[in-house]
Amino acid sequence: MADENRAASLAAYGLLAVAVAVLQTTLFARLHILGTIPLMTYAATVCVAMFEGEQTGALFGLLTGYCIDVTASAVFGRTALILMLAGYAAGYLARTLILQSLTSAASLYGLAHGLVIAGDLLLRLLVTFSLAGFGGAALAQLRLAAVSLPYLPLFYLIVRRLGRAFGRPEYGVTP
Amino acid sequence: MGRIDKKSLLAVGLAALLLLIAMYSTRQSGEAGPVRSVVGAILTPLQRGVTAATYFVTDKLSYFTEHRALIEENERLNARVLELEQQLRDYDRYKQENENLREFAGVLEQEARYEYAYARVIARDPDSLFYTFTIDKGSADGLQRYDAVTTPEGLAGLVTEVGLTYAKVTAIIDEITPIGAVVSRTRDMGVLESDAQLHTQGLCRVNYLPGEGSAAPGDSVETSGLGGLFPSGLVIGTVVEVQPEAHNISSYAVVRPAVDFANIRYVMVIKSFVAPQAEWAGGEP
Repeated sequence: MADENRAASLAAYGLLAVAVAVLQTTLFARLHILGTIPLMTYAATVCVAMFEGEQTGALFGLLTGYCIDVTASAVFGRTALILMLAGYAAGYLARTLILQSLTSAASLYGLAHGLVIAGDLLLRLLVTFSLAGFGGAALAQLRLAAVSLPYLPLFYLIVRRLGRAFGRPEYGVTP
Repeated sequence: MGRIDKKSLLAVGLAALLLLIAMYSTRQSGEAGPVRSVVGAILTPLQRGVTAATYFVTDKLSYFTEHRALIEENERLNARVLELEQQLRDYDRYKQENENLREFAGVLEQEARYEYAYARVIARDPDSLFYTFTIDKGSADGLQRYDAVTTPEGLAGLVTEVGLTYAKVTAIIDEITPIGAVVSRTRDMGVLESDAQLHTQGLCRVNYLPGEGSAAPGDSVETSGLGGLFPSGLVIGTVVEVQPEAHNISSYAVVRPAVDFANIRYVMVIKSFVAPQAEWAGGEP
């Protein structure tokens, strides 16, 4: 029974990942706020990781990112890599350190964006040995985090409801 | 601090390595691999459906919200039709005159021939502001990397990646391969290239123009056909301003593209073309 529930919940998260990618590249790609297109992907990945753990979080991030990469102009695999690592980190931290709450989700969300900025900094230092353009890229990432924040409570509620529907056991640090 | 699950960490590390390899391999060719083609084939109908539904709803809503604007546009278009009808009469006269002169000079012209594929825009890159988009035709329809993508307004971009049922199109203002361009009025040639700063304003630039007199604001810019990648005569856009290059030998023109990238719904992909060639009927002139 537990295995069936696990398989069903994984299938549901797979469908959610595809739905997020499709909506992000179609309907929500037309939405501009402060010259930036808000992204659902970070919020969705962080929430799935927080409620389901690092394995599901990383898988969800990988699948969502891969689907986005099929449409995006950036180097193929970049989004998948970022979201997979963000999902893994968020899941691990949620399992070991923090409470499952909207505030925690917001902290993990901020951390995920922070990781992107840190990764960018690291790549620039290791590959190009130059920080030219880093400030602008970091600001753009922070702006993206700000305009995409409204998606967070939405996915928090969706993933929490999904988990309960599939009888998810108590997980991580709970209040 | 909880224990790290070594198996999942190993799996994530392995996946990260595979993604890095994928990122590297993509930089080498514009062909989507089999896995990406399969994912694309699954996503394409979903994206097509959502996009069609979005357009249906926005079109219905626009009937109510844009009624006044549509009436004004109708009046403006009626005036424009009258103006164009006059131009058409002039055109017919010039065309006949041109044919007579060609006949007189003994020039035979082979007309340009294009093979098109019509495609719908089904998805847009969420990382950039509409400058890369996905169309619902791919290698199964005969599309290839670097095929020119046009709209009735002019050149939109070129195919940069081809999957089985989809293709990614990079707009001319995005990072793109340089395109031969010519200023319609002066016939001075330059090279159309993207510019990181202008890109955010929806503009691009034509570099290496011979001098500041090569172009002026309002001039039309079109493809020159040089390089053989694109046919000649595709409208690129209108010159906004002309500036000297840093070394002051040549100048560059800032160009506003003719295509409204935010609202493209349908495109025509030029799969192959035969450039027009003039031949002297009696051999060498």
